[in-house]
Amino acid sequence: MNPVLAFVRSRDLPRAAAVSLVLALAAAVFAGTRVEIPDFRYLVDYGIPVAAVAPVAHAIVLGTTLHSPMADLEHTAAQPMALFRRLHLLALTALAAALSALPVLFGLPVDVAAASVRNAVGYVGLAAISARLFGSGLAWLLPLGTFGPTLLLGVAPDNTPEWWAWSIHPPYASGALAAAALLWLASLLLPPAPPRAEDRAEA
Amino acid sequence: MRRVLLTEMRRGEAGKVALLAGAAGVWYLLSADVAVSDWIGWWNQASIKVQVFGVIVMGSLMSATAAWTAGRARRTRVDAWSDTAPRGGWSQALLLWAAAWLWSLLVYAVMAAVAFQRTAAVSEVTAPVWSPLVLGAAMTGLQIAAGVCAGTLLPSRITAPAMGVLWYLVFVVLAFLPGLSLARLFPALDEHWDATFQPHTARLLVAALWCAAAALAVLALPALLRRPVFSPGPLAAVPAVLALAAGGVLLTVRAPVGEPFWAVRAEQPAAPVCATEGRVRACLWPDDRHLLPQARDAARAVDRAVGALPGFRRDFRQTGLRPAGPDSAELPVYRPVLDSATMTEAMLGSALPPRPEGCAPHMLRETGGYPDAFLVEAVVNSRAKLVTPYYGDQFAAVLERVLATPAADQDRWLSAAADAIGRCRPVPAPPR
Repeated sequence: MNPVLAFVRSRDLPRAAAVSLVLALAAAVFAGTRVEIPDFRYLVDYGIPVAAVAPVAHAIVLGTTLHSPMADLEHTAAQPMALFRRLHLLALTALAAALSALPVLFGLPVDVAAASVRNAVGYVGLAAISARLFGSGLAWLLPLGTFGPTLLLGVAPDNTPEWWAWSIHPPYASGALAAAALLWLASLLLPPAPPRAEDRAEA
Repeated sequence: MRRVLLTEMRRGEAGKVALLAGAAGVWYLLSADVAVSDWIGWWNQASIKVQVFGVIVMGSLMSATAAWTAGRARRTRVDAWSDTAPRGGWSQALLLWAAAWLWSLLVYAVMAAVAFQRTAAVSEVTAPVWSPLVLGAAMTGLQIAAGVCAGTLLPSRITAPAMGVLWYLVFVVLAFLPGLSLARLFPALDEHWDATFQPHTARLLVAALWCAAAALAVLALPALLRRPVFSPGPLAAVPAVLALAAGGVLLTVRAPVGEPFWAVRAEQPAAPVCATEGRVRACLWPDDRHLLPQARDAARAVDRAVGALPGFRRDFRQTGLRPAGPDSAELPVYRPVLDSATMTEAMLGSALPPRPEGCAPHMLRETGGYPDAFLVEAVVNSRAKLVTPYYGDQFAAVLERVLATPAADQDRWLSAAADAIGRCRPVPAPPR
């Protein structure tokens, strides 16, 4: 069997891609809606397009494919897996970015799509970092863990996003672009580590 | 049992996640700026802040983590062993729940200590408010129990993040449906309780009871639904009945129209704390006595600006305090820390008598068509050396002209203008 195909199957990528596609279609249906930030800090009007929130879901779903059911074998394989790992991350990012941009076909403004793609890149990077730090099963931890505070505390009293809430910044804000790029590059360059006990136990 | 619990606390992921959430929480509480914060200095608000962060951020994350931990036996394919262990399914779920909840309680206590320490540094009274914190801790327990239940019944890799997302969704949706009774069963209190309010302790404790009982009942569900494990005995009905009773009370009790459900109006203090400067007096809630120096400065500035002018109000009472008479003005205090200039501005804003109900503002053509009261306020603010808003060149020219007139003329015009505003009449022409 083609090794790439075998790798894709071992990570359950088709299933995750299918779930993400459903999410992308749902985001496309609600392309014109905004997720209003609740009145947690007595704000009156701050909303984020649904399309800019969807990448968090893509990162969480696609992040499940970072788990390898044969982590020990891969770690001791004759062929180094670093290249495969990076290609995997590239593929996930491309998939998440493409799915995030999908609502453009349904009338989503290009600048919102740009923010969506930026968030996809950043959150996929964050999921990969989370998998590296906490184990592949917990790839969802950092995307979810940063998304909550962003919703709760990400808007300053003057109705502008806090500096650290990069995913709700305007589409072309340089700081947000830099944060997303940095997260993604960090995930790509993080050195591999031996499989964690949890990953091994699942094998 | 204690040893097993400690081992599970070390073994599970809850510790790492709780510390991560705690680090974010402590940073959030420590990084708040005293000058603009809406909680540092008010004990009620400090408690609310910790509770809302604990429930929405930490609770959601811990629920997801508990779901992940609960799926461990199935993921590692040892569920056949754990299911046949000489311990019931309820007891196993309780163990996982307790391990995660104790970690979150530890972090929650640290966050509460940080918030209270910051408030104590500002406030001159020590009155920590505990009931919202108790409710937050109980609600976190319910969230974690829901996570354990979902992770045991649906041991998929996606269950854990789905639980986190689900809780976020619940809180976001409920935040937009403030009148929904069902929201009381998932309390994440995000209300603004200044000195005017105090927590409705009975309702908060009933809600905490609901959360705790519902958590225990939810933990029994996997053991009741899964065949292989030892089912809980009739004891499981006790928390279910308690949860039904407490939940029923929460859903049926009604707050008076216009009043919050979780708080009640604070009783009038026997003696408000007051600052008197010249002819101006400003009174505050005793809990806000740390604002007395600013109130004194503001009263002095107001006395200099309009203290001698008939028609202006000179007795100010913080919002919620009973007025001393018809000429008492409300002094709004939106933040626990205000500087003298902001308080002066608030007092001068209330010093003009209010327009009678239904009275439309009169426009002053000379200023470019702005309401005549704007010019009066601008003159008064300028006399108190406060920055006035810019309403255009024409308005600025008239303001400049009025301020250049002799003080006696200004005083006469201001008094007549205040009297006119209170009687819903146009203010006299500005002096030249």
